[in-house]
Amino acid sequence: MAPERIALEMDGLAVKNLEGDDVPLTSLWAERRVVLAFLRHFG
Amino acid sequence: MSIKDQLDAAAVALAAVGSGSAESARTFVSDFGFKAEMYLDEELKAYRAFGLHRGVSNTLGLSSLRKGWAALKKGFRQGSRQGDLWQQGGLFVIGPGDRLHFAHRDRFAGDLADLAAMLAAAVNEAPAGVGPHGGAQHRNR
Repeated sequence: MAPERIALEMDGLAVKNLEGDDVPLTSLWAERRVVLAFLRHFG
Repeated sequence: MSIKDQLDAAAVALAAVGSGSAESARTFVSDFGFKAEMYLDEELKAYRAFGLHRGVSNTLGLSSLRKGWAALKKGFRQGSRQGDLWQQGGLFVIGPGDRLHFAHRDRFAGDLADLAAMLAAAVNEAPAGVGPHGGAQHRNR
């Protein structure tokens, strides 16, 4: 089974690092493999 | 060997996305000893893009709510150990490039991902030593 592909809608989205800088979402996996954990929000 | 150690051995990165403030994220990192990259998505755009569920309106019913709550309480009682690290909105293994190798979306609190399956997907033909364009493209041979 070929792996699925991440949707193109990810392009243009950004998250922030702990310094408050924007980091393009797709840069998290562009050139490496990453386990990406979305934390459950308790508050 | 911990999950983090196994990912390290396969040169697979570990990153967490939270929806809270930078301060709560730092607290989370120190409380859990979470040796991973930490990112914030306060507007929940990335959460939505990954199709992650939000709010109790998405729970499947009272029984799953109870189950989730029980798991939640159990997780809290366990303290800052590895188990409750994974009670999260979702878990994905991606890359290099736009390949999605594993996806789990929590349906309710305590709906945990299959970590063994995640780990297998993460370290299977992981990019370590394969080169920047290697990895999973030959996995079907």
